[in-house]
Amino acid sequence: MDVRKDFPILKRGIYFDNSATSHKPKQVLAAVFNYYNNHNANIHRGIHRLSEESSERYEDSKKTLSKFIGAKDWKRIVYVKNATEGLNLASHLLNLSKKDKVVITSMEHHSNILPWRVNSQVSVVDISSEGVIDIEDFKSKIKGAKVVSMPHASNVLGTINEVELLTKMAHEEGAKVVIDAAQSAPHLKVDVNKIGADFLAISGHKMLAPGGTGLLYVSKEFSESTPFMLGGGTVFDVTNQKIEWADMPERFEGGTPNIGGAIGFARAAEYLMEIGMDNVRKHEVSLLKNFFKLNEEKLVEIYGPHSLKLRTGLVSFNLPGVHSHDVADFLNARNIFIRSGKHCAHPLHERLCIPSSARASFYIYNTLSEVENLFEVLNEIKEVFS
Amino acid sequence: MNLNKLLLIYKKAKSEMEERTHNKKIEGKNISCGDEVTLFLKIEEGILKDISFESSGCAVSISSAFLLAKQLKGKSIEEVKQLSNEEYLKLIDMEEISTSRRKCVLTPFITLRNNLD
Repeated sequence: MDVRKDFPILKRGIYFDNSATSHKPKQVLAAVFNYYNNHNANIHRGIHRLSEESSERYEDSKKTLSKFIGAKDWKRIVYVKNATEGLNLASHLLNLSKKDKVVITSMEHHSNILPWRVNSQVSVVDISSEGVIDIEDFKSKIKGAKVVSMPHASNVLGTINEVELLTKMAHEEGAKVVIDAAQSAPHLKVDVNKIGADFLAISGHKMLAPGGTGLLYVSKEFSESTPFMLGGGTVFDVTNQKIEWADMPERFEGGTPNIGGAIGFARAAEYLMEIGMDNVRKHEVSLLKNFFKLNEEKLVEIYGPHSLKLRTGLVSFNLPGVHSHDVADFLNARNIFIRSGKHCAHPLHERLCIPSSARASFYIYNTLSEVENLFEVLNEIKEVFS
Repeated sequence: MNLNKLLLIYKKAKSEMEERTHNKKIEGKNISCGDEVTLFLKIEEGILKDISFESSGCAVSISSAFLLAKQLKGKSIEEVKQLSNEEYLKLIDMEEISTSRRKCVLTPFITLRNNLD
């Protein structure tokens, strides 16, 4: 994939920490730079030319992102600072009480556990030893649930969940569905209409966009809910007697938003659409294939599905006898950057009965030879620690 | 401390960890990465007469527990309670450890310092 020239930072080393955050291409940075150099002003409130230009660009960015996620109406898109904020907002809009049952899975990131744990009764669907949702357990747990919230793809196992089917099953039981798409949107085609969920959260910074960007897709049913962040921009009118909330999406975006970030977010989505999400996926599968091939002699223990069709371009693993932090530290000394620890998924590590794991997560700019380099150093670590 | 020296200490630490005679046992954890340490203390008249340990975790954390046992043996409880994190890091020659690994190094020491009456 001929994109490496767009990422000058790649000269710093082999970057395999893309599930945490991705690098940003020159085109995205240029779009943000151009916005601040030539158009900067606050949106929606000014009569002057710059404010109009900013407002147009801000709304256009939502049109681009609605195309990226297959949403028919750009007004269903609410900007948030990351998927975490999106999931918190979804939890707020669902107006839960301690009596309400919310179903999540064993493979959640903390961001899809905590917003539910604090204000409802959480029931957890188990996973198989290969890290796939136990469908029988899912069927049984969703009975009586008000909400089902699950990841499209796991940030540790890489598992791609059958969210279309699972959403349909949850809806049939009368539950609302929230999808954490933080780990899928950067890597696969995400189509909110096909999935059919009520809410879907994405982090922009994991898909080439600047930090502090993300979105929550909100279905029409919730467009008149009371906002979470109250303030400027969220109302048509306020008097001492009444509040008249603005329409979606403004009512859910209190205060001046991250306008430059939104411009960059949209440019990142365009960049990915120019490559084509099918090509992004193909490239990552080729890297995964190489990883699994290089591990034929089981140098490392891999977690998650072994079928590449069922996983995104990340591999969590442990090198037997060596702590994941030591693996990451040693790799760092060779300019290879991976993640280690529990990846904000403590319950999942408990479920897998492991104290921690190392994680190599790939993206469009990684190469087959970088994966080979990783294995060369992993072999070296094995030698040194034996 | 360079990597080669750390690895030598780590291997020695793994082979020498044991539970020796003690009159106080304390346990500590670094939840975020799963490091666990148990310190076995033999305390006589306010002095740490002996320290032995068992630990599972990363090389940095296990080496730290090993060096702690060596360096703090013979010190008084009051002396250990007065020791700052920075002084401890200097004592075991790990003051240049990266910020991300500080927690690994300090877990055994903080476990000890927080549990001395």
